[in-house]
Parts: sequence; structure tokens; C-alpha cells
Amino acid sequence: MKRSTDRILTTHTGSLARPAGLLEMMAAKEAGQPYDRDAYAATVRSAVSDIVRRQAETGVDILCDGEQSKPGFFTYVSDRLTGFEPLDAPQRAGPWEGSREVQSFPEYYELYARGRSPNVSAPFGMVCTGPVTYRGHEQIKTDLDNLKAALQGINPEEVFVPSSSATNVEAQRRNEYYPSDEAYLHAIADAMREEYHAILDAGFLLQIDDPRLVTFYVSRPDLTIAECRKWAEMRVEALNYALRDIPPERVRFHTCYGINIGPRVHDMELKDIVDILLRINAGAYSFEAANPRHEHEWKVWQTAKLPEGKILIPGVISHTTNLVEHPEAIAERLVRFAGVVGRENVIAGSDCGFSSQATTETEIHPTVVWAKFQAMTEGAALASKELWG
Amino acid sequence: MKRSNERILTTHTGSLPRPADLVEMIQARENRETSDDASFNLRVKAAVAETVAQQIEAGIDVVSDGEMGKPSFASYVKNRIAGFDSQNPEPRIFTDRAEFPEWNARSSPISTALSVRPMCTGPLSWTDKAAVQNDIDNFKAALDGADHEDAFIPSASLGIISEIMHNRYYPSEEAYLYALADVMKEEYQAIAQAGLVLQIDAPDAAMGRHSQFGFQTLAEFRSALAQRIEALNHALEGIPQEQIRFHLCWGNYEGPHHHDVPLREIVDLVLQVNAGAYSVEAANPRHEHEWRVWEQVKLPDGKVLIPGVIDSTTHFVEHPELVAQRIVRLANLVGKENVIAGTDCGFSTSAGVPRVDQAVMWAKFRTLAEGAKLATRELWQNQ
Repeated sequence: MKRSTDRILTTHTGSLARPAGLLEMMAAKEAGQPYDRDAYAATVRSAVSDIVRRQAETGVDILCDGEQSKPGFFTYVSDRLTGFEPLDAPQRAGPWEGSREVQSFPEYYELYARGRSPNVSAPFGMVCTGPVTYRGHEQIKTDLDNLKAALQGINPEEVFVPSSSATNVEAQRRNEYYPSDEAYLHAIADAMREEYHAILDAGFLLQIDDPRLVTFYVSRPDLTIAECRKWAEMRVEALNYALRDIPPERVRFHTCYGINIGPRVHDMELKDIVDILLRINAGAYSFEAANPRHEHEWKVWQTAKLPEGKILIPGVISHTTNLVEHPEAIAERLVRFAGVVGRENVIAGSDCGFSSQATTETEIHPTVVWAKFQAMTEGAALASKELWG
Repeated sequence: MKRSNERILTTHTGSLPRPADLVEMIQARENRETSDDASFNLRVKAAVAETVAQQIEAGIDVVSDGEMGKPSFASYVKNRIAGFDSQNPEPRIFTDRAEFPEWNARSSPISTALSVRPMCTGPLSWTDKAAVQNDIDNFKAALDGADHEDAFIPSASLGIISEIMHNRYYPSEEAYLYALADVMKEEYQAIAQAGLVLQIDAPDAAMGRHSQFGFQTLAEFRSALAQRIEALNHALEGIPQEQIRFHLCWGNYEGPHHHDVPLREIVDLVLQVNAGAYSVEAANPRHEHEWRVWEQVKLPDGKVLIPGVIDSTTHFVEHPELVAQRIVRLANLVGKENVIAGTDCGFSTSAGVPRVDQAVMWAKFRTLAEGAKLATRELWQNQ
């Protein structure tokens, strides 16, 4: 994994808006309606090509395919894993239903829910009724081939591909087959491991997407921090099981607090999970640091020691505001982190993806997202000037 | 004006959400469907009492009347002063929004405060001087016995009136500004003479760069701003500086804001305003870094800074430790006794168009108070 050896490198979380034409076809595909497979494949391929070129043009150093082929950053595993059956009724009304946040601010979350447009994939719940195995070989091969084709003539510093953690796969899929949570998690881990290896074999960095590591606490008002830490320890153990024998310097780990522009007064604090986070066998950690609920947490790294050789990818731009961060604000954020953990151990990132689900109404309008990426590039250059003179 | 002598005081920008039934009454009056002043004023009085109590309960030290009776922070002027008429048909172009037309089309409008735009078509004179006295009386009644440090009433700057309500009558912009000064000074004086702090609301001083002068040079904008400030100082003559705070902002909307004029390019002019305190955005990601401007620019002796440490365009409840970090770094530059913790802008600059859900807004005010406490502990611990 490249690090910021002579300047601050830039990257982001992965998902980016899908073009309108692709969304239409994807909606039909997800709804089980007929669609033109060849046209669909060609549309995905060209979307990946466009998004890769645009990232490179904007100055993103470590880029990806924008998850153009996926209906959502974790729902996509549905047609890549066996062992599940759909539930008759969707499990929950919304992602934050029953959470500490909705309990504290019911009016806000009601208003928020009314304003959201539906994603390409409908809300769903599944249940595990048989052995979990990987059957997405063809899909991941297509993803990787599209990405390789898109990279022709483009020379980014590095390329990553996001993939889901077992913890997130488990989230909306109740286990009715395996004898224990642990056995269930390990089975998912073994299946997802095939995708991880495919990504690494193609020469790309693997990014593990795992928001649930920190959102579990807010979603479970009945559990204490200590209980959630215990829960998290078992998930991290399962993740490390999935990553066994994979060199940590090929893996980056992303966690975040989900798509929630709400008050977020109940977010699990970094200081309460950082020691468990650092046990993950990854070379880099990507996390929220650009929004007003987590920006202050750079100070956590004054006491939590970042192990030798590890990299931090703090969010310096946010997916939760249309304001384009000022490059000097971005530079200040980066310089603060560099001051604590060393400049060569900091890569500029985003708090979360900018289209974690395929939808016409992304978190932030794509035209504004590119302006944010531009600001991040400028901010990283300013920080580099300050840090390297 | 109270300062942070023993602890960091808290305040906000002024406007707060009006109760739903009051919004309806204001709307009916704006539409000239009713002119029942007596029942309207009773309702406003009760709303002011309630909002003052809520501010104090949330931990706000320097409270306002929430602008309960006003349709918006600026357009209320047309209801008090004669000389304005019809609606300006020219579109207003915010250059940051114009650059993202697709986003602009799907986002909510900036605010009715900025779109109701009659023009000045005749000589300016007071028609409803009782209105400001009502504001004062209602507020004083609410403050009676309330446990607060200080109290302020916002009033529109000459610049924002002239930006929103264009001159079509006076021979020059300068003549218009001084005519505005001559009428508005009576409102300014009335507030000050009542022993309250007067806040001048001046988004024109910063937002004006991209909402009115977006297609002109920085020098042209600065020259217009200098003229506005000169006229404002004329209107403020006779009012002690320590009774005046000046609020500037870049427009209270969640947009790109990438054409916002940097504070360092206007700060010299802003400091010319004869005010004892300056309230300025410092919480949102377009202006948060500008605390460093005060490394180069000396805050004149005796003046107070009111940085926004809470963003009025997001539902995030800022972490109290972040609020404390924002206060402490500024206090270290300009002196802790010269910092009062504030908000970037108002939470309902127009009646009925609250930016943030009310319950969330009060949570943000509580986090502001909590952050100020943390900062106080850090700043005063060694004494």
C-alpha cells in the first residue's frame, strides 16, 4: 500500500453516484423485470470507465470503480452468496427504526424518512436457511475486468475495491441454520474471503466496508457500551479469520456511522472502540473525522497509539453537507492528524461513500461531490506544502 | 455588554422558530388578509416569553426575542417604513448555486426572507414606529425575572435592506443608504435606549459578495461595503459601542458556498463598524478554518468576538468537545474574556422556514452550553 512519503495522498470511501441510464436498468434488474443483459453490461462498463477517468482528472490518488455495478454497498452480496431465503415481510421500517436516535428525536426522523427517495433495491430481510457459500465469481470477475479496462491509460497512485465485511452481511440476515453466531460469522467470512482473494489476485487493494462495527451501539438501545464492545470483539475476530494469511498492507478497513444526517448524539465514540479497531489486521483505517460529531476525535490519537507501519485515512470531506469544505479547512484537518501520527501515516479521505446505495437522490448531488473532491485535492496540496516545506 | 470575564458566555444569532399558529398569523398579515393588531401582539408576547424561557433552560446566557413577530430578519422593515412598493422582477443570482444548476433545482429555496423584494419607490418614513416599541416591551416583559446575563434584539443593516430592496427613487445608492440611515437609526436607538444590546444583521457584508456582487470585482464589492459601513456608522452615532454587536454571514443555506469571500479580504472593513462585538460564522466547513485570520489580524482592544461554534445548516448536534476546541483555539489568540460562543446564523431567519427541526435545535443549543463549560474549565483551570 502506498503511503504519503513525499506528499499527502488522497482517496475516498468508494461509492459514487450511478448515471441515470444505469439506474433505470438496475431498478428493472433488481425488481426481477426483464432487461437487456448486454446493454446492461455495456452501460456498467462505460459508467466505470467514466467514473475512473473523472476521479483521476480531479486528482484522486487512490481511486476505485465507484461501486457502479452494485445496488448497494452491502445489499450487492445477495446474488453472490448462497444459503439465504427472503423473509415474507421486510424486517424493519427504516435503517434507524428502534435506535437510540429515533427514540431521542422521533419528529426529526419522521420528517427525514418522508423526504427520502427509494433506493434501487427495496428494503429487504433475509434468513439463513442453508450453508453460506460464494457464488459471485462471475460478478466479481466482471467488476474487476471493467475496472482494469477503465484503468487503461490512467496512472493513479493505487486502486482499491470495496467489499463487505461478514458483520454487515449478517446485519439483515437472521441465522436459522448455524448452531451459533460464531459459526455463522465464520461461514460468511469463508464465503466472502473468495471475493477478497479475487480482488487481491487482480492486484488491487482490498477495502473492507464495515459501518456496523460502530453503528451497532446506536441501533441497540438495550445494550451498554461494554456489551457492544464484547459484540464487536467477536466480529473483529471473525474479520481477522477472513483475512488470515492476507498481508495487512494489502487491506484497508472502513467504518462509519451510516447515512444519517441526523443529530447523532448517540454515536459510539472513537475512544470507546479504538483499541478493538486497531486489532483488525489491516494496514489502513478509514473513519469519519470531517463532521461536527467526530471532528474533535483527532485528539484520540494523542493517547491511542497507532501501531508502527499503519495508516490513518481520516475523512476530511463529509457526505452529509452540501457545503464544499474550504481547502484550508481540509489542510488544517490533515496537518492536525499528521502532527499526531506522522505525515507519512495520513491519507486524505472522505467520511463515507457519496452513493452508498444506488439511487437517483444521492446523499450529495454528484456535481457538488466533484467540487468536494477538487477541494480535497487542493487541501492535500496545501497540507503537503506545510508539512514538507 | 457582558463579556466572558469568569467563564465563556453563550449566545446565538437571534431568530428562532415561531410556533405554528403564529406563523399562520404572520402569513395572513403578510398577505394583508388581516390587520388585527391586538390579538397578534398578544400572541407574539406569549411566544417571546416562551422562547426566552427555552433559551435560558438550554443554557444560553445572552438571549434574544427570537424575532417572534417578524416575517423575516430583513423584510419586516417594509411593514414599518413607507416608501417600498411592488416586487423586484430581476432574478437574484447566487454564484455558488448557479454553478450547480441541477443541485440548485432540487434543493430547497434559500429563504423567503431573501425573495420578498419590494423596491424603494418613494421617500422613506416611519409608518409603524410602535412596532419596535412592541418588540422591546414584549421582550422586557419576558426578561422580567428571567435568569439571563444579557439580552439583544436584532435589527436589519442598511446594507441588507438596500441589497434586498433596491433603490428606484433616490438619486444615488449613497443617498439611499443615508436615507435608510435616517429612518433606521430610530429603531437602533430605541433598542439601545431600552438598555438592550442592539445587533445589526448584515449578511450583505459577506454574502453580498456572491449574492449581489458575484459578477463584479472584489474591489467593487469592497468599495460598496465601505460605503454601507460608513452610512451604518452614521446611523449608529450616539449609541455606545458596547451596546452594539455586528453579525455578518455568508448566507444561511446548505449550499456549496465555494465562492464565499474569505474573511481576511473583508475583515479590515468589518472592524470599521462601530460595534463592541462581531458575530461571524466559524463552525461550518467553509469558514471553520478562519479562526486563523485572527493570528494576523489584531482584534482591537475592548472588542468581543462571537464565533459561530454551532452550524445552523446541519442537523448534526456538534460534539461538545468540538465546540470546546473551537472556543479554546480562538480564546488563545484573542483572549478568553473576548470570546462569546455563538451560532453561525439564525435558526429561522424567515418565519415558518426553520432550518433545523426544533427538538434538534434545542439539543444543539444545549451542546453549545456544554461545550462552553468544557472550554471554561480548560481556560480558567490554572487560576
